[in-house]
Amino acid sequence: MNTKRFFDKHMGFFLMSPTIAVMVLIIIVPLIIGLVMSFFNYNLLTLHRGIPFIGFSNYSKALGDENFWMAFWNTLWWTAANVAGQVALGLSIALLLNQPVKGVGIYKALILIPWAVPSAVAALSWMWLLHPEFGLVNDIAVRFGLVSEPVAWLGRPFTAQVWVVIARVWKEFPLSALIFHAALQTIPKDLYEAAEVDGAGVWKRFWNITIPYLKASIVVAITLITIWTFNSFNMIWVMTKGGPGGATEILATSIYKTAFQRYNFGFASSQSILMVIFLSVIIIFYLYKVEGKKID
Amino acid sequence: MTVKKILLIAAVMLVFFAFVGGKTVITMWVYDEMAANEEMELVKAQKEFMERNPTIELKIENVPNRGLMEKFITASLAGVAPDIIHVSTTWAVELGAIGTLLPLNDYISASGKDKEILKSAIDSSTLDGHIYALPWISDATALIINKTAFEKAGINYSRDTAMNWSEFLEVAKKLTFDNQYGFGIRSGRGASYGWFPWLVANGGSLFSPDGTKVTFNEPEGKEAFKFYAELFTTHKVIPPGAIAYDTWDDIRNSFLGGRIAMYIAGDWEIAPLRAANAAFEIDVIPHPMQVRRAASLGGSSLGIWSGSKAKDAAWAWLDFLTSAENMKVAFSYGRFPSRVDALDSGFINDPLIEQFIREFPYGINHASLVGDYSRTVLGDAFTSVLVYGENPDIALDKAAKTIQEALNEVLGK
Repeated sequence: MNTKRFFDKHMGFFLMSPTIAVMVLIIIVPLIIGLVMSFFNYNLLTLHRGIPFIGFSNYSKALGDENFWMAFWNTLWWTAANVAGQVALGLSIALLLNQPVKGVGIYKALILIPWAVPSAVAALSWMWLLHPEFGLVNDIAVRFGLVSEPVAWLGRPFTAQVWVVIARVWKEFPLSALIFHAALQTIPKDLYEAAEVDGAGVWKRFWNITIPYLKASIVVAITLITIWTFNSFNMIWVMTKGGPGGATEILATSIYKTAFQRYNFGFASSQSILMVIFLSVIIIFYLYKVEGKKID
Repeated sequence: MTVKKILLIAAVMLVFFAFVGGKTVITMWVYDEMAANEEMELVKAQKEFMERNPTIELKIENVPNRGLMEKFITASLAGVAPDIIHVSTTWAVELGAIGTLLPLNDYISASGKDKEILKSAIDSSTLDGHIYALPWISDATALIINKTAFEKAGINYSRDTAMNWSEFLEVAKKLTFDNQYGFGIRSGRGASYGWFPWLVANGGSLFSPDGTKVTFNEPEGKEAFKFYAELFTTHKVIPPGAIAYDTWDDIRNSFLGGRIAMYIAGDWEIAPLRAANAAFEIDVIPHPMQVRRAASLGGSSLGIWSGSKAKDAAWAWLDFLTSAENMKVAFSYGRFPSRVDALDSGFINDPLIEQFIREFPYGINHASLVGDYSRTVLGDAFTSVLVYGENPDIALDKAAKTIQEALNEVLGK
């Protein structure tokens, strides 16, 4: 009887335990290994000299490295531009989908296409569109007289920065569009009708009804996009590898190079831990500000 | 019969089949889709090898070249790497230095391969006397030209004599008109790879002979770096879009599209160029020279994972694949085997491929302990000059400082 009661009481835990075990194995364990590794001079090319404990040396080296800070600032604008672009485009599309239009289901399915395309495929497609000589973007730009001759979009710092953001916004906006569309469905229609009777215009209705109702969804979308963009890797790596001249070098690509081109896993681990700390600070600060209170 | 007896018989049978009936399974990773279907020569060789060695089961897996080195390092650290890996020649030294590849000296000397394989190719896979991979395919770079454009511009060229830099520049200028540019280069890491032979041709070198000091920023190197960069910045014989030519596909498409009339690459370009049915004639001429001739020597080699449990079986396959009778495998892909007798094998009847082979004696390799990182840093140096307009001497000095620091770290200085 006691056994049955014990199992009844802890059934939830037993059912969850396989999932917890897998999560610990693929998230917690690597995180701990990375943390430990960051305190050692773990360089594959110098393993024959051992793996000495070096305390916080990797951290002080990273914090004093101008390339690390360049990657950090690049990561900030990359994340901010992506958040702004994905939220703005996602919200616009969600509002359009919320209109009583025929075949809205088909449009909903269509906007999911970019999200379903693998990142590497999307990045390669964008590279072809932006090809310095034969790309569609150059063809259109030259035909319409926007540029006098084809431009190496990914070969110039500013244009490379702009296009990698556009490519990722195109790839990822469907998520925020879906989140906002779902939230828009929950807004009572009579609120809009009442506001219209009271003489509120489109803009006032949007600002005073739609936005407040979407606030929670916007917070969720911004938080998720911030996390996923801050540590994203594929799009930039395939399109520019962090170039030209570090113009699109973000923390993820920089850490990858430290690990797999210099084989310095200890140093790369310290940079990764710093990246996690930066991201946590940004998210906590953002949620604190938005919620207007301390996060539990 | 008791349960104990039954268990004993079962155990004996299990051990018997494990030793007698069981096969040694070895796995190989190969890139460039060389084992993509049954018709490919590598797959045919695999079948023949297994017929001759019934105790060995060889599995070949196609893996993408992009990211292969990282994937192999990770798999190796995790203890799940394949027994054999097909690697770019420039990677073998680094993979060996980090302990993922088995030194093959004993196997090579016992089998006599050291006399059969090109010495320059073996040298490119050697560090501190350890040979970390067996060269399989070799290539040297040469100048691929749009023969039709040369004829239209009234330019005579020689298939035997290399142009010096001023002659090359003159030709590039003559070929630059309307929408066509004389020459094309890849950007970033591609630019650094393309620059190495120019450095050596000018009497420079990447590192000191003992591999401990960066030397590419000495006067010969600076002159070569400046010349190469000025083809873009000053002489403008390279199209503006070249700063975004990332892959060989990019530069080949530019060539096929008539945007550039010359580029430097290896024999791997010939098959795709022919497949594209170019609207003009193609020829291959010697790499431009200065105080000496030089071309990039590359290719691919076969390494055995240091953690392999079937090293002898893995070597048996390497020995078989690089034998004289199997030169046909490399040739079937339009590639050149790294064997000393390859040129006389009767397989070479391609006038374009022959031109690349004639560059072999001038081939230089750029494998080093910090090779991969060096290519990135030097690529950034080119970008800073070509895109940001930085002074070439300053950019090269900065790159040298960064690479020297990385080298010192590795050497424990």
